[in-house]
Amino acid sequence: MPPRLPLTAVSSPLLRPILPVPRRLFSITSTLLAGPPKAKAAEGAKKQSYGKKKNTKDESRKGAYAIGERRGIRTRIVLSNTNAQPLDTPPLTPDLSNITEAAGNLFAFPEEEVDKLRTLRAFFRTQDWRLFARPSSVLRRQAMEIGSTMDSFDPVTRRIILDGYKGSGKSVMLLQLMTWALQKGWIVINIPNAQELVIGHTDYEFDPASGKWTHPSYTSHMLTQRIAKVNATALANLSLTTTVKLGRNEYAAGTPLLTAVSSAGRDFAAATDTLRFLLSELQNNPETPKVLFAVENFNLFQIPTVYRDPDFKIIHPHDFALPSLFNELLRGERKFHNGGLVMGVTSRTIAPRAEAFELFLRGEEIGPYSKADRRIHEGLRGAEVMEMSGMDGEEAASLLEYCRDTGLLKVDEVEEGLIREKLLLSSGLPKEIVKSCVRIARC
Amino acid sequence: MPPPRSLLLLRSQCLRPAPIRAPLLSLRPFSDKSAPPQRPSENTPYPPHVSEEAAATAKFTGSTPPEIDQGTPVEEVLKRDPEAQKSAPQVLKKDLPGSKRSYSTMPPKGPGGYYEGQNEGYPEGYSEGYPEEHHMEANPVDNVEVHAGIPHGAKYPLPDLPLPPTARLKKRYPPIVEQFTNMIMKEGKKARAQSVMNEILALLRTKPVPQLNPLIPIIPSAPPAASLPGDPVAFLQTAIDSVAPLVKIISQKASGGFRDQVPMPLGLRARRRTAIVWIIQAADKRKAKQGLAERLADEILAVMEGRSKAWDQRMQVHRTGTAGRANVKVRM
Amino acid sequence: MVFIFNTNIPDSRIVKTALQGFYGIGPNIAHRLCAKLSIHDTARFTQLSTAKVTNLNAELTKMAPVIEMDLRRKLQDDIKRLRDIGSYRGRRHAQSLPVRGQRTRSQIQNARKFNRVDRYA
Repeated sequence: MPPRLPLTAVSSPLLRPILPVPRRLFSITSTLLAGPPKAKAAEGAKKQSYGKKKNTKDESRKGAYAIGERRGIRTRIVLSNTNAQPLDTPPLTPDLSNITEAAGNLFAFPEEEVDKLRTLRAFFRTQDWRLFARPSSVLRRQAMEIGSTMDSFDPVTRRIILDGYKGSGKSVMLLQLMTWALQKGWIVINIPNAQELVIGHTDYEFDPASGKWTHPSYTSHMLTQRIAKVNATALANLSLTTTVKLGRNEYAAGTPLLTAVSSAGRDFAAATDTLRFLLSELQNNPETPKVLFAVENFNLFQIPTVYRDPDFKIIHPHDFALPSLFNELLRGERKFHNGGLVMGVTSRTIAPRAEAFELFLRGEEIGPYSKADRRIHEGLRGAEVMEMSGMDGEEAASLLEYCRDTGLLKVDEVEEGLIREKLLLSSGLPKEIVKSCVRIARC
Repeated sequence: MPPPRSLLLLRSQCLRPAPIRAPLLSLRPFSDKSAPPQRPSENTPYPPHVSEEAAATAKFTGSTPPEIDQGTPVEEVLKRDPEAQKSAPQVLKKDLPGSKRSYSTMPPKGPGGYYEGQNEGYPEGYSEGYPEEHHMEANPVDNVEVHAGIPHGAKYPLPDLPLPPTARLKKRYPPIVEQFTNMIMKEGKKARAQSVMNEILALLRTKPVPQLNPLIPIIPSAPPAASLPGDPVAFLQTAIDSVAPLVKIISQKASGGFRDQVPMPLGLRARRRTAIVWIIQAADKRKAKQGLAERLADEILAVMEGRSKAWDQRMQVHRTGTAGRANVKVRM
Repeated sequence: MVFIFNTNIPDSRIVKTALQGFYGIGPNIAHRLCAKLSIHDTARFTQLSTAKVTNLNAELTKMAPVIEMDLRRKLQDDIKRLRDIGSYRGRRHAQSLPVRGQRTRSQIQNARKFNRVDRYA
């Protein structure tokens, strides 16, 4: 709960209209990040006194957090460590996806792409970037497998649900794929945490035209702050194939797509239509580059939301526009003109998962007497399920050598026995391997 | 390399040297408590040893003197003295030539004729294929040389004894880490304290190299400051050991209704404990807008740079201790 | 400040909890009201559109007979009726004593405080 404002700090209701003009916001976060509302009492409004005691607590409130400050601290992501040994790690380049020898080696994310990936919110606080001089990662064989198909001229969209244990490197692999996509000039769209859309922390609205529920401010923020910023060049090169009316404005054919996305996306009410239009443009415009659309914590799109409709019924996640658009892509009903990659990343550990989703991941059908949600099962049909396995010896060796060179692992030589020991203790999960190097050593 | 197994079979008590007894004289040579003990001087006349006396007698008589330097073994005495043989104890009688043991020292014969382990080094099927007369005579158990490396049937070699203290699960972490963890634990939630501790150590890795203040006494055995972020446990230990007080002040009753402030020396663990308490208190007072781990990590850095309130407390204790050192009563 | 149902509410309040400040609206009714107007759980008044605030006001006005003053008045009327028909419960209310057969030897502070004919809330 935010600190309650002192009564004197708020202007008299008589000085302002009874119903205030609401501030239009881009996201749930911006109110919090905007800082505390400015006290207007100082502007000459008459000081009011309520009761006998004066509120003298203002001074002691100084130490408390400002609105949004804690969130800022909580979500701050540090990607470098000045104490760590800087290394000459080769950068991740787009041609690596076709070199099979590259698998199992360490590559650094190039500076340029790091900024874009930050904008996409593709880095996570739970990843141990803060221990190393710069973000680098081991190229996994799964990444090579997907990466090798990225360059194919066949305009096929790969539709993958990536499943794996916590710390198995799913998100890091997605980072690698996104880096390649950005380097190859693809359009990258990312939903960094599906949870934000189902736990009732962002506003929702019913759209009678499409019969779907929408997330106006989230979609608007996603379009203007992430999609338009990261893919500015690609979107500016594309022009509209048709004339379209989004919100109050009409965009003539031939207008750069970026203009439509960034100006129409600003309008909450038109944001979802704009996203839908963007996807249809990417489907119909032959000029369009390939597209990568990824969702993290995809399993959260399969559990009942906490949102309620006017009849107080729980809204099904697939009744929301964003998840259903993504599902259309996963099922292959909606395509990208020149192909691309659609990827839902889901964790196998400590994550809420629906029974129907579990069955789908295992490739099983829902039994006739089962109460599992058939809609979930049907909604994903056609997607390919890929499992992120543990690291093999070669990959683990690269990671351990990286830890040693950085100064986390105090050994001279990464030997066969050490690799085997770490692999055994970590079940091959890279997060656990790093942890085992960082954790307190035995005395 | 461990000693041969045959030696290990001996109980350790057998190998221990017998305690050297002081001469009886020095224990109670006097009956009066107040009188000073009389130490036997060089000139005190003692009757000589029996053997020495016999040797002196033999010198006069011209007979064979007994060996004074190394003594005569009992077996030798028994050999040359038939009278003594008769009255010798049963144990010694058994070793006399011509006597027979009531039991066999030969190993029992297994299915192959030998202990299974003793076929090593011989071709396979040795026990069946080879004629009986080729069998070597079995060694008595005492003379068997057990392979020093891996015992037969075991997968790993025997551990080196005694086991190091770290071999036990309870001593998994460095003592300073264990102590710090226990002190940040609340309501017995150790796992939570451990995760905070892990976070502190991870944060120390990301902290800048501490800028040491020359006025602050960092312990002399500390590693160079530049190496500390790379070794967070050393970082923690240096900070704690540097700020740890040498004494604690206790208030003791004195004459005239006064109370004396008396310094008492502290052991290592208690010193560290005091330092950790101070560090945690200082971190809590800081009111930084951070989590517990972040606050403590910052405080540890502050200790190294001499900015921490813990230093004030340490100086205060030392000042009081110096002032009150006259009050220390040493019982003579 | 938002002026809703004759009450000023600070902008920064969360809608769902602020609604529970009205007499007669608890967590359940507040949740249903929010669901009816598609207001999410953590929404603050700053984030609501003008239309939604108007709608919320309209909803509360519609509920007027069962919340706030009308509900308080109903409560008072009910107690008054009990007293007027000369029932035991009415008498106990008038005497500021427990109404539902509790013992009166000790622990009747709350009854002393609340049980009266002109009970406010």
